[in-house]
Parts: sequence; C-alpha cells; structure tokens
Amino acid sequence: MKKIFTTLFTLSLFMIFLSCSDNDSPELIQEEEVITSVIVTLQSGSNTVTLSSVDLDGDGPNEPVITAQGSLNSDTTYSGAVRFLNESVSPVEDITEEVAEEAEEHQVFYSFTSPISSVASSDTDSSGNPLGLVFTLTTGDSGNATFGLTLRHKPKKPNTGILDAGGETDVAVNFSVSVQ
Amino acid sequence: MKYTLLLFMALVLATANAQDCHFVLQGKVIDQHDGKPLKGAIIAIYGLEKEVFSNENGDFVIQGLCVGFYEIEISHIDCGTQFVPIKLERNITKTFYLEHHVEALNEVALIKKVNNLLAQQTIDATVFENKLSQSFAEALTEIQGINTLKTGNSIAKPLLQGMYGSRVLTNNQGVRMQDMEWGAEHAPNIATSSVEGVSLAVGAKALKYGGDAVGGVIVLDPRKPVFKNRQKHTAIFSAYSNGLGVLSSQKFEKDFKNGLFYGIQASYKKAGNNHNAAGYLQNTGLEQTSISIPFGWHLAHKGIDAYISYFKANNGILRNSHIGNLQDLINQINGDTAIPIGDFTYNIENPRQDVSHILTKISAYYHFENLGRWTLQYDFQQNNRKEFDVRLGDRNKLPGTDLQLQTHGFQSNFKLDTSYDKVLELGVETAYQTHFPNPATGVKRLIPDYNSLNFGAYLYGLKTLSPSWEIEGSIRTDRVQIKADKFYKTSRWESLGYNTDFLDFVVADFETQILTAAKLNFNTQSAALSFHYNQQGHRVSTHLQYIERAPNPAELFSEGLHHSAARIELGSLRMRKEKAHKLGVQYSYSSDQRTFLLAPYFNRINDFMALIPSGLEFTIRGAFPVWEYQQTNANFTGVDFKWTEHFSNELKFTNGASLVKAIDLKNNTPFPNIPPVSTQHELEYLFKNIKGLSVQLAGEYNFRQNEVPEDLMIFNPYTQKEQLLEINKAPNGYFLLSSLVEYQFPKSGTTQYKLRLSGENLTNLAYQNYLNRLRYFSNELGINFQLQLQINY
Repeated sequence: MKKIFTTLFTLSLFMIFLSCSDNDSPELIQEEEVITSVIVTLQSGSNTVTLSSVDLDGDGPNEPVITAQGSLNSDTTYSGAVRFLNESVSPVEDITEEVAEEAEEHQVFYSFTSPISSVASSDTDSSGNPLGLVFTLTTGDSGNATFGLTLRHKPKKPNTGILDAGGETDVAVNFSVSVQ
Repeated sequence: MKYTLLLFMALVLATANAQDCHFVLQGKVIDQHDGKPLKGAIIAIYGLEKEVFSNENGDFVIQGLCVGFYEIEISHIDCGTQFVPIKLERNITKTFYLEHHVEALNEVALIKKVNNLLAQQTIDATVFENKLSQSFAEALTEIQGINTLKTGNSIAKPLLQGMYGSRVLTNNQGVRMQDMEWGAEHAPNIATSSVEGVSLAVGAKALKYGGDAVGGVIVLDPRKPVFKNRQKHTAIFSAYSNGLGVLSSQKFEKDFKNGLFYGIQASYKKAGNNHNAAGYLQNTGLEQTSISIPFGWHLAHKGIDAYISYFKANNGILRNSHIGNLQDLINQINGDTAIPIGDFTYNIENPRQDVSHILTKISAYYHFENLGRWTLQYDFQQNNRKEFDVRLGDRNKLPGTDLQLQTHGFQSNFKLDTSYDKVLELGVETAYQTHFPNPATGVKRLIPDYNSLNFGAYLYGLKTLSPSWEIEGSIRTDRVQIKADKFYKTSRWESLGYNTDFLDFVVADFETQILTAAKLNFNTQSAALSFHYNQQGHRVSTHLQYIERAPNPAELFSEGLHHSAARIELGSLRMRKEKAHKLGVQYSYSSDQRTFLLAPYFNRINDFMALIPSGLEFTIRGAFPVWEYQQTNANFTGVDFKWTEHFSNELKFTNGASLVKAIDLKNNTPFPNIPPVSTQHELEYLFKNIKGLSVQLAGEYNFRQNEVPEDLMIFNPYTQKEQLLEINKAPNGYFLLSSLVEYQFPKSGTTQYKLRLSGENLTNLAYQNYLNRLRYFSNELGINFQLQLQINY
C-alpha cells in the first residue's frame, strides 16, 4: 500500500514537471493543402482564354477575386485545362499534381449555361472513369455564359453526375464568360 | 467529505459516555419487489461499530444508541445499499424497503447522506448496469431534465435543462472534469461502467463545485469504504445486435474492517457499423477502453483517498457527414444526395475522433476535535483529442486537429460542524491549465495555445431551523486569467476591428498572419440561497441563484471553418462574463406506493454567449455561413415532472415529462439545440411466482420541436438563385418502444447470476432526432437487442 502512495506522489510530481516545460511562442503553420487559386485555360488555335479565381486568405473574410481574360469565339471547340494552386505558401504549391496522383479519388465536374453547348472530360483515371483535369468545351452562338467547376474528393466512381457522386467539395467556382 | 458530521458525531458519542444512551432502533427489512421479508440484510450505523443482520422475518434490533442524528446503512447482497438518515430522540421502529432499481425519484427514502438536502435527483450503480452499452451521457437521461446533444451515435454530451458544455459541470471523484470547452462534438470522457452513482447538485451546494455552473452540476459519487472485511467481484459481459457490439466490464472491490479499501475496474467495448432501416451507416464503429483504480484508508478522524483512471476511445464519424461546402450540406438536407449504404465492418476509417483522458487525484482529510474537518486535494488531468479528417495522400495519417489539455488542481476545504443543526464550510481552490494544439497537423488551429490560472474561494452554510425547515446559503468568488498565443489571419484580424482595439496584443506580423499574445482577466461572483420544507413525505425546495461565468477559450478565440458543420465559427475577444439569475422550485412527495416530482425553473441570463449566424463568406470552396459568438440575453424556462406509482407489489408505473423553452431576447428568436417536449412511460412487472423475474416495457414520445430559429436564405452563386438552408428545420415527433426482461438466478453460495435481455427501437422506426447534429446525414439507429450476463461473486 505504501508503495502505491509513493508511486502516486512520484507520478503527480512528474506530471507537474511535464506540464511546466513549454512556454515558447507557437509555431507558424503554413497550410499546405489549401487551394487558393483555380486557373482554367481554354485554347483554340491562337485564341486563349484564362479564367481564374484567387482567394489568398482561404477561409478568411476576403472574397475570391474572379477574373476572365479574353472571350470565347462562337461555334468553336476549345481544349481546356484546370490547375489548382496553393499560392499562400512560398514556393507556390501545385495541388493539381496531387489530384492527378490520386486520380481515382478525385473528379472535376463541370456546369455551364448557353451559349456554351457542351463540356466533357477528356482524361480518365486508371480505372477508365472520368477525371476532368483536361476537358473539351464547345460554344454555340454568341452571348454571356456561366461556366462552373467543382472538384470533389472521394466521390463515388463511376457516377451518373455530381449529385450522385457524393464526397466532399474541395473547390466550387463559377465564372462568367462572354462568347463572341 | 459527506461523512464528516457522522464521523464527528461518532467521535463525540464515543467519548460522551455520560449521555443518555439506551435507545433502541428496531425494524424490518422488506424486498420491495415481492413484499417478502429479507433475511440476511446488514444494518449498520455509519461510523459506529454497530452492525446486525436481519433474521428470517426480516427483523432486527440495535440497542444502546444515544440521542442524535445517525445514518443507517441497509445493504443486502441482492439489492445494493441504502442510506437512511434518522434523528433519534426516542425508541424507533421502522420498516425499510430494499429495491433493485433505484429510481431517480426515491430521494426521500434514499437520501444518501445526512444533510444532503440538495441531491435533487440521483441514479445509482444498478441503473448504470442496465445501460452499459450506452454512452455516459445517454445513461444520465434517467434523470428527468437531462437530454443528450449528439454527434452521430457514439458522441453524446449531456444537455441539462437545455444547456451544455461549459455551463454544465461534471465533477468526477471530487475532480472537475476538464474538456467541456472542446465543443459540442466532444463527449465527457467517462466510461459508463466505471460510474458508481450520480446525482445532480443544485442550489447553494452547487457553488462548492464551481462558480460558473449556469446549467447545473453533475456529480459522480466516489467509491466509499464499507468498514468491514469484504471482497466483491462484478463481471459483466454484454453483446448487442446493432453494430455487433461486445462489451466486457470487470470490477473488483476489496474492503477491510479497519477502513482500508481498494478496487480496480476495467472495461472494453467494441462495435462495428450501426444500421437503421435503410442499411448500414458507413464508418460508425467505435472502440473504447477504460481502467480506474480507487484506493484509500478512512479512519474516524483522518483518511486518505486516491483515484487513477484512464479512458480512451476511437469513434468513427459517419462517412457522409464529412462535407466540403455549403452546397454539399444543402444537397444533404434536401435529400438530393443519395446516402451511401455501407457494409458491416469493425474497421474505423477517417473521419474519426481519437480521445483519451487521464484523471488522477489524491486527497486527505483530518478531523480536528471540537472544530471540524480539513480536506486537501491535488488532482491532475490530461486530455488528448485527435480528429482525423479525409485528407490528401499521406496526410490522411496525420490528424487535422491534435489537442492536449493538462490541468493541475489544488483545493482545500474546511468544514466546521461542531453543532448538529448547522454546518459551515470554507473552501479555496486553484487550477493551472495549459492547452497545446500540435502544429504538426499542418492545419490552422481552431483553439489556440493558452494557459490559464484560476483561483476560487467559497463559503457555504447550512442551518436547520426546525424539524421541517432548513436553509442553506453560499457565496463564491473566482478569478480567471487566460494567456493565449494565437495566430490570426491578417484579413480576419482587420475585419474584426482588432487592429485598432487590440493593437497591444500583437507580437509579430507574418504578412498573411499575425501572432498575438492576449492576456485576459475575469473576476466572477456567485451566490445562492436554498430553502427546504419537509412535512410527512412532502418536500418543497426553493433555490435562488446568481451565477457569473467567464468566457471560455472557444468563445474567445475560435476562428475557422468547421467542415462537418459547413460553417465558419468565430469567437470574440470582446466577450464579457455572462450573468445568470435562476429561480427553481422543487416539490416532491414520497411514500411506499408513490413518488412524485414537479420542478419548474426560470433562468434569466444576461450577456448569454451564443453562436449566432451573422452572414455569409465566400471561399474557393463556395459560400459558408459565419456563426459568431455574440452576447445576448436569454430566458430558459422549463419544468420537469416524474411520477412513480406502485399499483401493487408486482406492478409499477413510471411517467416522466420535460419541457424547456429558451428564447434569445435580443433577437427575439428561439435558440437552436433545445430539447423538444418529451414524455416517458414505463411499466414494470415483477413475477410473483417466479422469483427474480421482471419485465419492463417503456415508451417514449418526443414531440417535434416547434420553436426553432428561422432558416437562412443563402444566395447560391452556382445556380444564381436564393436558396433556403433548412438547417434549423426540426424533424417530426416520434415514439420509441423499448423493453427489458431481467432474471436473477437463485444465489448459489456467494455467487449470483443476472441475465438481462433488452430491446431498443423495437418497431425499427426510421426517425430523426433534433438533438443529433448529424441528423441531416442519416436516420437514427434501427432496432437493437442486447443480451447481458452479470456475475456477482
């Protein structure tokens, strides 16, 4: 019995010392897996359109800055590519690579309004299911269109569309783009 | 602590031989279940060396007693122990009923200690035996007025009269459990099987446990010595169908006549994916281990107690509840997303929560003759919590949240008890706490590094005015000092206006982030007054309380996105203390046939700290509603009701109901997460011809919560439309049916077997519980059967 008491006292003393050890400033955390920027490039011949959404403060109060450089030509098929970047760290981290490495656990879904007439993934994961990092986009008449993309982590694959896919949304952006 | 008076009296009585000591206490012990006399019950007077057994007719006699207060302990190996206070002024003849299931209400017959006028409602160990497979908070719902706030099926937090978290203290073995600031998704780290008994402390006595218990105090009884040579094993094995769960709990207790005692309790529980009517729920398994070792040595005038416990749990979190943005949540709430149906597995994957809690304490008391008792206590706690989220690549193995909280507590209590009709207690306590969120997660800290130093002092008094009137009062003051080192996003720091108001907190600027060192002090004062009136089984207690609570670190410093709730939560450095004014009345009646409780209360809280939606913010993931801790005024009004009637020796009926209304007075809206009106009904039948067999049938109706905050209109940039986010919409009312069949085998030697077969949600109802934070993602559990074998030897 005496032994138990001694042990307990020693234990409690040990714990006092244990807890009084750290009093330094906390370490700065540079979040590595945050996506701050989504850059979509659409190309057809010499016509290049770049759409970007950049939110450097992540879940901070600042809104993403959405820009569209250039405008699409009507009745044209574009080859598109999307890149996901973390620009809050230096050097800038390209998250697209991680998405590509884990292609089976990711999918990019697209939405659009006319005069964009179709968007289709042109890449697949190793199981042959769509991935969506590269895609083709076809325009119809001229006008103003909305083009949106959603990156889902761990969706159900294969799926019949975004609602069926489930998983978690890592990116959801919408662009306004004019078709001339 | 509670035996002070008795021990002291024993001491006085032992030395005061000249006193008139010829009184006789005689009586009869009866099994309440079948009305038959109980042979072999032990009747002991606490603190005196007097102990007798009841004979074949249940009769006993104790002679040579002096005038005074006594606590009579009546125990029987089949039935557990009762403590009955008696005031002896003449010879007394009394009948004692022993009972297997000690109901919450039987307080008058079961007052556990002299002068315990406050344990409003109690549960004893036998009730916990029936509820071993449930979480601690769920087992507590036996007490009228306690609900649970759940996150899925395995994480449940007690909700006492509509309040939870920092407003409800849990005092385990005399130690204030730390961790309640860790949010609604953090359950108390207590294994149900380690619990000896629970009571609710209200009114003046509650202030001894803490000055900030705006909601109330849940007190877990410590192990008590029995002052005789005794050895007790309790082994419980349980298996249940929903989740194919298994549970084993082993308890060994050893007592010696000289007051030395020790024990060891260990339990292990494992379950796989739960199911409901639709199928298996993905990733809902759990694994839980606990061990606790109480030991001590109690003499009449001095004693020492120690307690060591370790609790560890790994809780799976429903896979599809882990969502990325608001649109995912809207899709779930509107039922647009198919709920994935899993398979059965014991594997627990991400998202999951890994928690552990070490609690140790050592306390000692010394009784100074003709003065009182001095108790000193040191305790240490370490809580760890890791949240594993679904992350990219190898980061899956890294927790997204990794928190460690260490607390050292020291307290001193002096109890003056030189007279029978009054008690005075003076206590001081201090606690030092450090919180360390591990930066290795690579994810921004939700709660920052901090350390806090608390001092508290209280004065408590009790006076018996007449045989029927008693009055209690207490005052308390606390000082809380919090030093926090926190990184703010520069944009957040500026948008909250902290760059002008809290400029002196800034330590370093890292462009996108700012390191701050906040030092905050809060002084709080609390006071309470309780009146009690007793008359022939009727008892009316009135409690008046004024309580101040300092803000906790979550309310001050939260900053960031909660993925599971799809919202940004923000604390505020501008928080002031909140102030509660509470009036509670409790009427109870108890007789052999009937117990009755009616307890209305009113709680007005000024500067009530609440998470209130304040707008919408856009990120690359989409839009998120922002919930900010703000201060408002609140009214909590409610009533708890419970009635037990023994229609005959065989048939018992219990009916309970609870109602609580909680209004945010500034915004004139109800608060979220307030329990809807509920009623419970239970019939218990004890077979006359088959001794030891009993059957219970219970039904519970939970109404729809009609008083919910308004849902939010959210602009959905994706569809370019306004959309209703029905986050507060309450599910429909539901009726749940459950049953229990219990058989106690005839005893062979000292060994007794008990077999229990129970069933929950017998109709396999598909329903949603308003108090489950994951109700949008799945229905509640379906039917569950449980088989439990208990061996006492």
